[in-house]
Amino acid sequence: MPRGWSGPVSILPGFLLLLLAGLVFPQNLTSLQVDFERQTRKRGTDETVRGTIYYESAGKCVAVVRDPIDQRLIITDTELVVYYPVERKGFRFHSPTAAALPFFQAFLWSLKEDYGLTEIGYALAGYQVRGDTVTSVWSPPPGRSGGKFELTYIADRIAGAELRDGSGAVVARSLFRDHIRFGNAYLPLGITTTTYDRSDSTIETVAFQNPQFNLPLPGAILDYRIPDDAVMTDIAW
Amino acid sequence: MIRNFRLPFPLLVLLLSVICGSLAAQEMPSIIQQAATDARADARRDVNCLPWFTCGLLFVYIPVIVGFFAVSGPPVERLIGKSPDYVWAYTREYRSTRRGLQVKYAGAGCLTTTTIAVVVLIIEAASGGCEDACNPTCNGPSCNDDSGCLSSSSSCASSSNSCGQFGTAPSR
Repeated sequence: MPRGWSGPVSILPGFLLLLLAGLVFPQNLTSLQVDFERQTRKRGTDETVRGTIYYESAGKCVAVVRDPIDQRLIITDTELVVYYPVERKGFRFHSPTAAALPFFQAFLWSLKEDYGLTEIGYALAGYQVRGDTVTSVWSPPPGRSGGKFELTYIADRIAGAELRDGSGAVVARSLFRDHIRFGNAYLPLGITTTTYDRSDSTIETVAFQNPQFNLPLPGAILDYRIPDDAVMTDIAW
Repeated sequence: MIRNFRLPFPLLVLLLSVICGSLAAQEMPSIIQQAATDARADARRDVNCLPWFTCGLLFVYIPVIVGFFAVSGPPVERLIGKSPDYVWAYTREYRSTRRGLQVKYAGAGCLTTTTIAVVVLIIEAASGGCEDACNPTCNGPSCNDDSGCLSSSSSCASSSNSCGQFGTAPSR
């Protein structure tokens, strides 16, 4: 542990107050509708995708893509449906585990205390407080490959996240900006994630707009039925 | 003459449709090719060779079977905003490449263990052969003399290093 860092044993009083002051009791999120623009630079090519995400905490998530193609991604606990209304065809991916859109998950995880790391088995390994900045280091669950996770909060807003591999090299780094308040928590409307690779790095910039919390989602989206004459291909995932 | 040359309308339509058709046909393979290239690169990045190789080392052929059948699909975010042809080609190629890599790495581990096992067996067999050659000298009724056994052991040991351990005094 670096000098000046405190261990997990002595964390409770000061650290928890500082880090989790606004995050322990976030307002419950039941539904969310948010526009997104995702830009990706990968292997020298740029790509922009625009659309809207409709999220229901009951377990359903629908991403309606408008640009560059008309596409719907319907994510449930056991299935991912990718459907193209214009072509009237699509794919049904069957999976034992729920699929997820990582860039949207990164947005949602900001609502959880400690970025949801405790839930997935990470344990606090140390922290450092400098003014209004709290940096914490998290160890992966025992037996899991991979390295530590580092989180930085500035004034209760998540500012950065860094994932390292077993040798300590940075695998991915996310920077969060343009926070908005929701209940006692802050959600970042801008997330830039760089994933490092030996051959080429990937840079993903996501901008969220017009978030609408806990409002009824349009029935046309949630109860959308794929036409019977659509050509669907089933794929085991 | 060139100025007055005019294509009949049906012929013009036919010509245009042929050109558009060939352009579309050219675009299709390029999308599929791009999807396949992306899928191969992503699969190579996603499959971690060390766990598969280690499992192959420890559990021999089981991870090879698992690696063949348990192939996860590509992450959802790679399919977002992509055309149906791209999604189909990408998914197929990704799974295929991933399966190949998993089997290859697990197979390498399995092969390593098998090679080690075979080498050990050969050494064992060679040692056993020497033991058989040494022991009759000591096992017979006339083998009550330590020196005889030791002398035979020493000669045995000289022929093979691994055989020296069998050159101990016989139990009486």
